[in-house]
Amino acid sequence: MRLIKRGFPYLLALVALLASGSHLQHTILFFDPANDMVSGWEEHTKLIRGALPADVYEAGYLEEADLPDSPALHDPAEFFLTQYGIAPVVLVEGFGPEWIIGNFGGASIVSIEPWLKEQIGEYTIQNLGFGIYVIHDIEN
Amino acid sequence: MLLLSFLALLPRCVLGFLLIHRIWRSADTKDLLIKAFLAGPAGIGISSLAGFFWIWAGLDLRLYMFFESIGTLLLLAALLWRHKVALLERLRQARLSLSKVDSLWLGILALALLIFAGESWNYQLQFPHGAWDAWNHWNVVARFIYRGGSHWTGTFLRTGDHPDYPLLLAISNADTWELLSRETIRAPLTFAFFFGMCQAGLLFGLIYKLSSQIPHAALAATLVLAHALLAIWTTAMYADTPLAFYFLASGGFTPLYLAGRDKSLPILAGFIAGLAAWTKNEGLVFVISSTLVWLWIGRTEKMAFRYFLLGLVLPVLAIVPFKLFLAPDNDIFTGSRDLIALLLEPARYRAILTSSVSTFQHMDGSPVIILIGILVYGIIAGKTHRPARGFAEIIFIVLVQWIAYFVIFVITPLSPGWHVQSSIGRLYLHMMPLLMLAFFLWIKSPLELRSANDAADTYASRH
Repeated sequence: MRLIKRGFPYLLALVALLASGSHLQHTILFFDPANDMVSGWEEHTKLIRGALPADVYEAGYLEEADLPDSPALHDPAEFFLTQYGIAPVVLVEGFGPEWIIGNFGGASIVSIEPWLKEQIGEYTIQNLGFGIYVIHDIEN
Repeated sequence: MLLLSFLALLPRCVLGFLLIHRIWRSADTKDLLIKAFLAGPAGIGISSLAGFFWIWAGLDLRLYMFFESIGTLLLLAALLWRHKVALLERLRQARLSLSKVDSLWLGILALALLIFAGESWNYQLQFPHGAWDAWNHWNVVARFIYRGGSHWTGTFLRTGDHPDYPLLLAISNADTWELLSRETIRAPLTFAFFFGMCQAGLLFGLIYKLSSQIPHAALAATLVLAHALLAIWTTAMYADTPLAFYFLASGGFTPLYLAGRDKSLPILAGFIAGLAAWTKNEGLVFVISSTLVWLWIGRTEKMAFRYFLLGLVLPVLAIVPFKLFLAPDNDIFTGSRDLIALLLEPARYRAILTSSVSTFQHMDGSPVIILIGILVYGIIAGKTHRPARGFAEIIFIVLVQWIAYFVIFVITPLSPGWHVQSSIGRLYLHMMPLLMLAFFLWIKSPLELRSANDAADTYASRH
């Protein structure tokens, strides 16, 4: 019994090290950089920041799901990723602010423009690629 | 950039050390070890509190960081110069005498540290911006502070969860960016890893101080580092590892005080409990439970309780106006819900318990195997013949904290099962180092187990 008692602290340390070592091995084997959704989005938001005037501290946010008859669903992750990328600009959903970020995915600009015209009147739009647009609501 | 991010923490480590040493004057080697691991997190806390007042007054954070860092390094240089003879003499007399058993245990600890670093490195390669909450709750606020200048308060207008979380993490990362004049994701990563290492180091220091046994302290620190869960949540860059550090540090000062009655320790315990509340809302519960513990101690030693409250003053001076004037309402407590009805709903309790058990069993980096090992170790080894006081006080703090978490799960506006699933691993990590400290205060050390005679006492007297 004394031998067990004397050896147990070493055994416990060994089990703990083996458990953590085996977890490390497992995570290395299943390493997948595609799990990182933030870095790629950061590239998009750099473009958005470049397109917004420096004195803008609030921007609206529209997404594909907002388009009329769109089958797309609201994607909170892309909203929060955009907020993270464009801080200190506060991102608010909808048309309210003078500057609006459109994240329209694969939707065609031809179908978006009449809808924008109907909603906000006069505007300018910059296509940043990847379905992302920066819209300036001139009448706001 | 990784190295520079570490270097940017250095002035705050020095600041923390100087202030701690000013309050707690002991120059005992074991106390210095505790101070070394406490210095960084304490300095980071002080700097973030001062930085908060600074930016709230509309001043430039970069200017503050410049003054703080240069001032601290100049002060350090002046102190080193003033005490150079004594310091050189101390260094000359310093002897590191380690037995074979000590060296073996330190080797085991070094291996655990290496695996922890590997796990952290591997995780950050996959998730350089950390996990969801890191960028969505914490680092987004740091960006508002760093990029926003006087518009930093825009962060409180953001859509999202927990907009009322306090600012220690966000200001600290913005501080590092200011010092580097560059916004790099390496800064929050370094910050997170630093806290993870300090946590294990502080646990080692506290147990070494209280037991005088390196094997005992090294086993405890190894078990903490071996939790893959710790590496994952640390590198995820959440606030939970810094929070757990402050819980351990403040809670750890209770047995330390009870062992030596050093009047400066309650001040530090109070200050660090306040830093926990400045890190995350869960820290507010910790402040209440710690205050009750020190009130209990204060029945016979009134000064201890007063000093604890004195230590709390500075963090409270930041937390109260932050909550009253800046932070929006907490999303858990807002909305019209009948809290009494929720508390009386048995289905919620069932959902919480079921989800807790199943989530914990299948948790990534399973802590279950380590916990079973610790339990068996407890049964085989049994209670030490040389117990340190403070065990009951720590268990009280842990229980109050977990009861509070349980009540939050019951009244949460979210689905209780989902809420448990998304947070139980982190809530376990909050208390794990403090529980580990309590366990190692209670249990026989490896040296006690080696021999039926007083080998451990002989060893302790040599250290």
